[in-house]
Amino acid sequence: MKQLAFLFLCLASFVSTAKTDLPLGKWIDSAERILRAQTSASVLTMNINKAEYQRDFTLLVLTDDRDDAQKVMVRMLGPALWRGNMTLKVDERISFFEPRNKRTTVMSSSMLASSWMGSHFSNDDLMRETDLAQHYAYRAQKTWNKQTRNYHLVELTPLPSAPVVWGKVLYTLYIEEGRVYPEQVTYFRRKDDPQPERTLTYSDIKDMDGMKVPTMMEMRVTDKPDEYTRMHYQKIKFNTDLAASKFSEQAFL
Amino acid sequence: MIHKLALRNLLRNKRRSSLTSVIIVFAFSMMILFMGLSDGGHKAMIDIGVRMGLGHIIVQHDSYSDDPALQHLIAKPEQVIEQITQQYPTLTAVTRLRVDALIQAGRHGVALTISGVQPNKENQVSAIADQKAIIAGQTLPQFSQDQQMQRLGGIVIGETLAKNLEVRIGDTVTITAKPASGADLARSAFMVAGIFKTGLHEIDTFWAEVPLTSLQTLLEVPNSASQIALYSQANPETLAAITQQLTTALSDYDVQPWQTAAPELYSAVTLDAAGMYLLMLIVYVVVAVGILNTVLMSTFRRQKEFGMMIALGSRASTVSKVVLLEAVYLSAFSLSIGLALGLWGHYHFATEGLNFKEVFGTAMEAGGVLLPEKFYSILDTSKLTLSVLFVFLLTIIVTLIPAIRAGHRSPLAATQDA
Amino acid sequence: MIKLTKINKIFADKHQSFHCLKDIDLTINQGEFTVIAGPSGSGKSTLLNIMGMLDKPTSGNYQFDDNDVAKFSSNKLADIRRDKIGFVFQAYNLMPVLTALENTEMIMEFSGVSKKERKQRAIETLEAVGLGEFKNRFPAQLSGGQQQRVAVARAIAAKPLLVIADEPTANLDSQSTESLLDLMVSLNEKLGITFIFSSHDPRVIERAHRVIHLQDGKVMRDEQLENVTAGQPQAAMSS
Repeated sequence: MKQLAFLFLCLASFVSTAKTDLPLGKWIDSAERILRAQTSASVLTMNINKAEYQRDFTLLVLTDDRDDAQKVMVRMLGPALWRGNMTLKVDERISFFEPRNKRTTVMSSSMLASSWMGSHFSNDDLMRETDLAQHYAYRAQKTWNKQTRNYHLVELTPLPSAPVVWGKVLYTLYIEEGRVYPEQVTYFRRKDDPQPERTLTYSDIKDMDGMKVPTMMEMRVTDKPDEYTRMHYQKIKFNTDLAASKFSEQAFL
Repeated sequence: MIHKLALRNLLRNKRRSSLTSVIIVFAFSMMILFMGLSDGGHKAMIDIGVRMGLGHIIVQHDSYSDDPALQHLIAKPEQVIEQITQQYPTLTAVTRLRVDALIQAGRHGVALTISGVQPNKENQVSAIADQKAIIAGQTLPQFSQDQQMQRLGGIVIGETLAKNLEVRIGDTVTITAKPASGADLARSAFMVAGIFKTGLHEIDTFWAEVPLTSLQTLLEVPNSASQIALYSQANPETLAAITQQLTTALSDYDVQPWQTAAPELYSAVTLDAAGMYLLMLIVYVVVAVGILNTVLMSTFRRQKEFGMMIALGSRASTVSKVVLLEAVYLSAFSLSIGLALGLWGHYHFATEGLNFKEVFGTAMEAGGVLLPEKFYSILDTSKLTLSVLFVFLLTIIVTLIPAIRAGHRSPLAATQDA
Repeated sequence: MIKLTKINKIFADKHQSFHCLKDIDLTINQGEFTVIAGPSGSGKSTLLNIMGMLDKPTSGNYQFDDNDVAKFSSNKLADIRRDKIGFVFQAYNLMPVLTALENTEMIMEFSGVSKKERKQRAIETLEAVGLGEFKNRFPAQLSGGQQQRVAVARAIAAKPLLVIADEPTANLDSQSTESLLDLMVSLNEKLGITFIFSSHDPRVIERAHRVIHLQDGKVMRDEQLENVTAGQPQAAMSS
């Protein structure tokens, strides 16, 4: 009986959010995909700044979201030591290729927690790309305007029994000329935590292949204020017809 | 008369006799004390060890030991349990499903072992997450009882793990594991119901328990289990016999006694027992050397007396008997006092127990085996009797040669000047 | 009772040998009160040890009560010593842990005399040697003379056939010597116990029936003294 009541409560809250009439989920989905479009091919630098080390990588990233099974291929272009290292993600399957040993590793659950290429992103973050658009309930917390941008602060709360690790996500996005841009995503461990655990910031809007996109992504962890990982997009080509063969393990060799 | 001679000869050098006696009393009482504590400690180690996610007997799929994959599970474990409990109604059986998985909270993730358990049954046999081990929150059965308001299944995790994940009671964690069906990883969220502390680093850091059914669902292995753990109150001999019979009865399965299933526990116990035997050996040597020394010293100074006894017409055996009796009296006296003292100490520790935490400050872990916080001295009567008899026999053996030699003194010794 | 034929005793080790007794021929009859006299090193003690079966001759034949002693096992020898011979050693040789009474009883116990009887005999004997009131003292609590008397009491309490005493008076003052000799003579006279002494004490020699002079391992002289008949009431011998 109580469970039933709970269900009603959920439905009610869902309805009340829906009442705002803002397509928040759709916006977040769009914001999350802004750098990918249907397909994308980009060259970017990734700067990792940690207390223990600093690394700069140049990456070639291909994405293809035309099918249900979303595909991502990341190839390291430099530095020389790392050249040819690849990460392939097809739907939920992630595999790594290490050219010197010609070894392909399919990611297991135990590797999920490890950091991806030493950055502040974990392998699991690659895995959870679509989490924000899928597993949360949305509520507009604040809306404001700044110049031509129409800002929204969206609060994301995990859906019941959603297998997500955050208790709350605050997503700042804005709409300009009909397109949705991400600005900042803060991740909270628990719903009531005053401090986020980490913050992802988008900035540096530039024109790439005829589209305005943020070209800088920066991830910072709250309890290590001096550390960050920055992804700086140099070049992006959208919606070219990428061959399916580029997204297979055969492409490693 | 020879008894009188023997006794008075012992009293003749009171200092030497009492020193020997004190050494023997001390060594022997210590040996009894350690024997009791060691056996008690071992029993406690085993008792707690089998309760650390183990069991007295473990039943597994034939290939599980070699390859603990989800393909090597026991299907319909309750049928196997029924077969077992029909034959041995005294055994307590629990079903468990184990898998390597990733637990995550926020940006932290730890690879660990998830054990799917039957909360109510497991609570009776396991010491990992029972009421005593839970230091915050609830046990799984408690959690599921007032789960009505909870939207997630409960999970209990170790104290160190909770620290590493920075989670507290009521937080959500996700479990990610490869299900039986294929390559993609399956995820499920759980609410931290309780945090336990066992004192075993491995378990406090890399162990979590969830309801069996939740894990079966996540892994897509309905009604399957990694192991059936059997618990028994029986003594080791009976247990070995049951294991033997089960091995035959369940020929399709791998039946392991805890000694095989937990070799580190077994070797810790045997190693410690070996240490005990070494101690016993040392005590035997101390007793033997003490008695021998006393006998040699006292016979050395009494050559003339022995010669005189023989000159006066004592048979060699009479003289030997006197010397032997001296050793026997000394050892019997010392052993009785040692035995009394040792038993008194044993009684103390058998009733009050030895509290490791009080003595050493913390519960101790050695090589993945938990030394229990408190344990009670146990004396194996036959072992004790044997060692008393052995020490006694040893006394006679070491005295035999000096005694025989004393009996073969030349009677001429009596005629020489003092 | 004792018949020695061509007894030789040679003490030898790797480097030297010493011919201690040379072709001794000697017969000692029951009831004799004999002293073996001679200077130190003449072989007195060795001869006594052989007669007392404490030592074995290198060669020669020893008949004790017409039995060849050489044929006896060491246990048999011990039994004969226990039952038939009493010893009094020069250095008293009492068991220090036993009282005068217990020392006197010890040998009787080994030969199986009942507790009651041996105790009675021991007390009687101690009284006879004048130590009745000291019977519960330990040797260390007795004077040299008293100890020697206990040793005599021990030697005679079991009523042996033969008492062998090696310089029994060597450590005694004259008064003790006299009373000890009185005791022995009276035992010899009353019970017919054979006494063989070694001594060069004139007070002892004076009381003897027979004096055998030993020198350099040889019998130099064997003299029968006139009081020889006094101590031979052969009919009184019972045991």
